[in-house]
Amino acid sequence: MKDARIYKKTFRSAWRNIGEHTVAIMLDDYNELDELGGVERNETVVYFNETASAIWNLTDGKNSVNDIVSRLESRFSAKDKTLIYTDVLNILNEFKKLGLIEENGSKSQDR
Amino acid sequence: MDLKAKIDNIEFKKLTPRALFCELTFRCNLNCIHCFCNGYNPEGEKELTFEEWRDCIDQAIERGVAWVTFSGGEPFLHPRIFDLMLYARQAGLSVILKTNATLIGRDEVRRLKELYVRDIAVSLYAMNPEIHDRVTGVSGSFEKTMQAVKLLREENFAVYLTPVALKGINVSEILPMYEFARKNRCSFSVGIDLLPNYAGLDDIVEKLQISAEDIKMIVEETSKDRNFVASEARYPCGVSDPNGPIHINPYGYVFPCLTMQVERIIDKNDNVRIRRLSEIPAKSTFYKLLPGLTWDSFPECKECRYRIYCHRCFIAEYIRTGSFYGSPSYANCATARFAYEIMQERRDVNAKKQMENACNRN
Repeated sequence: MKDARIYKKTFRSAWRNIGEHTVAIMLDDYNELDELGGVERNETVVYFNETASAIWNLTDGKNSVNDIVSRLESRFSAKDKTLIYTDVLNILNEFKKLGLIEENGSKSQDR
Repeated sequence: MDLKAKIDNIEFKKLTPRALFCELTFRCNLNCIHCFCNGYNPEGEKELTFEEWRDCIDQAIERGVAWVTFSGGEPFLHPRIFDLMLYARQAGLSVILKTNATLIGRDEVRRLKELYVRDIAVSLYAMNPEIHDRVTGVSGSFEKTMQAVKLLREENFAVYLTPVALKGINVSEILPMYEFARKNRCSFSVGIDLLPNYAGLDDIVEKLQISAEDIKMIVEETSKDRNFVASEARYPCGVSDPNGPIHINPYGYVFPCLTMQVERIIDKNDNVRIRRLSEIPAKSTFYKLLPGLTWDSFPECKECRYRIYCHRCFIAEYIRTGSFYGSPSYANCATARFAYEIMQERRDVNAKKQMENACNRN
């Protein structure tokens, strides 16, 4: 289950941690200007639950997927590492689909 | 409770400030006749360094802000403006710029695009180059500003054109600018109520404040195809909103609003070089006074029906009259009244149309 891939956040969103949660706003959704000269803001806002928020904050361009799984194991006292790994991958894939993160190489010692 | 409601609830209870305004420098490459801050530095203080600004951003994020506005003076005169924007973006903040745009060329536009800078407010004062340059005091500034606006719009940036109406100078230019904004799909907002300058003098206001008649014309003509949004907010201004913004000036002084930084009301201890941002709201006299000032705090406004369209600036009243409770400026009142009347007229027309339609159906 070694996964050495590293992800980093793109500039596509602005985000803020609130309590154990995170709110992210897509910054390229606003550029539709209406014909009256005003800005039509159809911003996509994404709310992360506690787990997604923890993964988001660990996705810093330095931690590998493996690092993130390890950190979550200790944080949530989870016993089933496979389950956590699957959850982390699913959430990272969701982030990727939204254009919020991109791959940033891999960590040699995790291979 | 769903996740969104839960998060909003946490934010409300913590009284999180939403916005940080960094006035990076009061220096400017233009010399606008109405400017309230150009080069203002009465005590020869040093501007905050890059590292100090970075620390301000970190502290503001700790307080929970979601976006940062970089302004000035002219923010592009700051040698590390792009490093600061990069730092803010990497930390998750949304970035807004207020600029005269004369220093924005193709390379700057490309870098702004890479950083997903969200909004860019540009100071434009006329469509006639001579009048614009007369306001800015710099020949050729119109061409540079317009070139930048063109480049920014080509890249689909949200551009806000923010002229200020000045008596005897550019009132006749407001409509041509509005038409330009519409054609080029820019947002447009006219400054009508002039701010006293930072020395607390009112001469700028007296010389250049437009008349009620001109205010009426501007409000009417620039609102023909859009509606004013009525506000039911308890607070006349974000300054007294407990979730209101944090302003930091080039020398580190912290204010709830940029209009507060007038010599005689500055609290010298409200400075990021002396206190941490988290300490200032609790310790500052002004921060103690302001939260809680609602419409009901002002006898003249308490029963005013126009206030749903009013942007009363009680800091400006403080500067003018020495009291937060002073009479609002006629520009404030006139703007609110005309907006109310326009919207009332539209409501009447709509009601009449509905009535006619109902009668025709029957």
